[in-house]
Amino acid sequence: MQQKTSHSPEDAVLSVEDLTTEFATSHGTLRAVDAVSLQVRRGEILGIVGESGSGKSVTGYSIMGLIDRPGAITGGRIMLNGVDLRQIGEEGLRQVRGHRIAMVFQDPMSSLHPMLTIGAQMVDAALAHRPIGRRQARMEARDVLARVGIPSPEERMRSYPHELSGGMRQRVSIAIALLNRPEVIIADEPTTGLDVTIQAQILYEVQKLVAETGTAVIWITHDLSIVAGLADRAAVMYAGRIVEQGTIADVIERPAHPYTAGLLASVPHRNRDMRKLPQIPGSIGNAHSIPGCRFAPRCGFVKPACEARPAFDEVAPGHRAACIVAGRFAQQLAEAAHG
Amino acid sequence: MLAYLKRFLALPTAALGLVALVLLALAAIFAPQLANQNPYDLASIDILSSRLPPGTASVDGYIHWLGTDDQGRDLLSAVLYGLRVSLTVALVATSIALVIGVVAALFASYFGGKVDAILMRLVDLQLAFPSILTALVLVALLGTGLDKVIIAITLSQWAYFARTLRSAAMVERTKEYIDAARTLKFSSSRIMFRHLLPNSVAPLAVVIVVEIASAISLEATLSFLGVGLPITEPSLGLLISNGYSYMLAQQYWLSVYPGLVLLLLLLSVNLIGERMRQMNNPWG
Amino acid sequence: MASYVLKRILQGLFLIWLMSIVAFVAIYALGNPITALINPNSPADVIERVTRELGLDLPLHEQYFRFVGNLLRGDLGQSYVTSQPALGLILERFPATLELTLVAMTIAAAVGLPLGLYAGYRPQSLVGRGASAISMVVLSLPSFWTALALIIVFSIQARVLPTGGRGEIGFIFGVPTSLATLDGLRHVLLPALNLSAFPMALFIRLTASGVQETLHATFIRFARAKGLTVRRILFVYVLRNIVVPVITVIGIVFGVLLAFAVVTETIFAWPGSGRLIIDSIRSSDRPVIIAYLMFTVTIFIVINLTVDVICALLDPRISLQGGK
Repeated sequence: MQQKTSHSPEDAVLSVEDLTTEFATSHGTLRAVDAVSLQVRRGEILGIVGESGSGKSVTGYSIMGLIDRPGAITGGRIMLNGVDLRQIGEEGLRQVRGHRIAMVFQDPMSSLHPMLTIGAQMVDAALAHRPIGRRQARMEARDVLARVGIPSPEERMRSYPHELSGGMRQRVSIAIALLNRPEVIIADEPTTGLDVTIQAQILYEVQKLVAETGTAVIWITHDLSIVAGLADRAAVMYAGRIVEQGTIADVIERPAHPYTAGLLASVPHRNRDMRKLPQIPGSIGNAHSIPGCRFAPRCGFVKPACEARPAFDEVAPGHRAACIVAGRFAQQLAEAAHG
Repeated sequence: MLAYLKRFLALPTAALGLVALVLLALAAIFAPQLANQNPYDLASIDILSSRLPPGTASVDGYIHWLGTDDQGRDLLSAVLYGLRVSLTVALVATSIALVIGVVAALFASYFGGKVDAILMRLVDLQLAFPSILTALVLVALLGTGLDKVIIAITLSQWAYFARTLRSAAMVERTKEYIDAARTLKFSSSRIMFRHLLPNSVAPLAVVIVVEIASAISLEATLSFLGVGLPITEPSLGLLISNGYSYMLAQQYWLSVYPGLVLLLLLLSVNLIGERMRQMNNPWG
Repeated sequence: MASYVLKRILQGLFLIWLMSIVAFVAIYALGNPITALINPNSPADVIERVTRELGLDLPLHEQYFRFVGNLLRGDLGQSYVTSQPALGLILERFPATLELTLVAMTIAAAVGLPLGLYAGYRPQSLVGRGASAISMVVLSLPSFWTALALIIVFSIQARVLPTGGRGEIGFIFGVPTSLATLDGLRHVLLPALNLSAFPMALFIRLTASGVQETLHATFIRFARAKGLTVRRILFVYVLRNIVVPVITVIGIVFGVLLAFAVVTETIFAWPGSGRLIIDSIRSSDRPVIIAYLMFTVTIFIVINLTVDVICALLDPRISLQGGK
């Protein structure tokens, strides 16, 4: 699954460039997503990792054009096969949503309409984009439900969401996302809150589906271990910015940013004493207002030069990090990360 | 407090409501000083000068700015005194209802169990009926008059206070400080009044304002229907009712002026209540 | 389903029993009904004879049993004023009230629901702000005030509509109604409009806040992520979500209107049961007041039960086996 290929924006299905999303709050403007760039290619899984408040979910919603007031996308381009989604208008976006880019939400309990049947909600999604009949839509819905591992799908389509378990509901959400065979699926922590076995099943099925359909996937999570097992490449976000991006091997084995190293260090690991997991001191807090490196207040490698915004430079081909020490402390970081 | 007021006034309609209410309240308080005539003093009323149009000069030399009513009373004076009656009835009734509701709710939320169940069923039963119906039935059974009207309004309102305070208190009582107070062996009444009550005040304040408006409206309706206050102490509702029969004769002022004052009064109170509700709402 | 309905009916009967005690106390304990029935200055032996005939010399609990027995036979006593059966008087007047209320509800729903829907969808628009402002003003005003305003504008100034009365009555499918004749329609319009002001304002408010709340729900965002049109989201996903609270409110408001009709009927001289109750209050006709109260309670209970069953049928999350 892991492959090292260069990823020029040209062969990416989706290429996000300098995306900036801001929210007007009573305390001024909050830049939740700050000049984020990322690409994902056909059949590739990109993991976006970050703690809550890092802007990873807002990045997902921004790509979908689902940012509501008081928020707005204020800069950058969102290129889907060479077309900027910011230029195609609301109706153009609607035709893209759920058809060419689909999204699975974090909370399986509240993303389905509580008073409509599963079947009705799936048929709706199909009919919104394709001139097929209701019968055809129902048949397709049933097939997709079966593909995501839902037993007796015909019967389930007549059920209401509250009659299904959390895991089943999330499978339904994933089925809805797959229904129109999108080019990109954005999955926003879809397995949070599910128990580990079901989580593993869903992850396995997603991997299988990507391999079969060639859909590109952006998997948003706070859990590095999920990304390590699932994704081809990873982008690490902190306080609205991507601080490191590279292949899974790059990011996990050779972290170039102190924050990534810290995240890795706090992941439970078979070779490590579970009781002594180190935590990164401090929290994101109001790091969004820091003009320079936003991780500096929590960083063990901090230098005076960190007061300027660090460049997002390559430390190796295809492996970038926004840190002035990135290239030089590779050895210490790897040690810090893997003990 | 000052910050609260500043935030409150940030909405122009709320500021307008507050100013209007203060002016009306001042007019009611100083009605005896402002009015040309005491409308309750039968000696100063001349039935011969009834239904004079606005602007007519009176026999005593002043001008009936709003004309006179069907009894020959100076309408401006009658409206000022009527405002006084309407506000007094509303404030007294709401205050009593508030006390009853607060005591009931504190009992219910502090003792819980059976006391709570019985009191709250009673509240539910009462709230199932519109307050105008409750008030009408009570007036029907008790008879009319100032005290009866106040009782009727009080009894149709207490349940709103009990319900509001109780749900606020239910949230509060699970918090740690109530437990702490109990462990310290404070008496139950002391816990209720010193701790539960002050922390449930914000939602209650909104209901108080809204209920003052509804008491004004209720009293006006009862008086208008002729089952409220006696004719000797005309409230705004009664003045409107008295003038109503002359509307067909194009003598509008009899009803319209007291009607406009009632409108202003109710709107200003409700605008204030609306703003307070908005400010309690975290998304407001 | 059956057990749920049965449970609700039993609750309703309990409530009616409670009201019967209130009614009994009101008639027999508060004041002696004899003084209302015959001249208190009659000779002592006359008073005594009538008291015995009416069973008023019996102990209170036996009087209560007789009262309940009569109640069960639909006998709620006789009017002190006309000596007619109290319940009969009310039933005779009730169709007029029902007609007025139904017309008012229809107007309120037809105007209030779409306006509320729009105000909730675009709260900052001119229509949205206007609708909220008007509903706030209307909810502030007592209904006699709006009635007078309507009369001044439409009857006295414009002279297009009558100030009161029911007008000519025609028949639709054998049911006597003002809606069958032009004159009847002209008479019903103003009182119905006045009665509709309160529920209309309420509908605008509740629908608007329901829509606004729903629009923030995750499932709406997910529906948008599916690429549904705004139309479909608003008219299927949002509406489906607020239909249950709206029906609940319609039920409650319907009951409230039957009571509110008291004021409107009095002002517009509409010959319904609301006007009857005001006349009865003015003449202290207690049996009629009590009969009205019992009748209204029963109607409230029936409406509530109907609404609960409809809501349970519409909301898949409510199981009729054992409530929520």
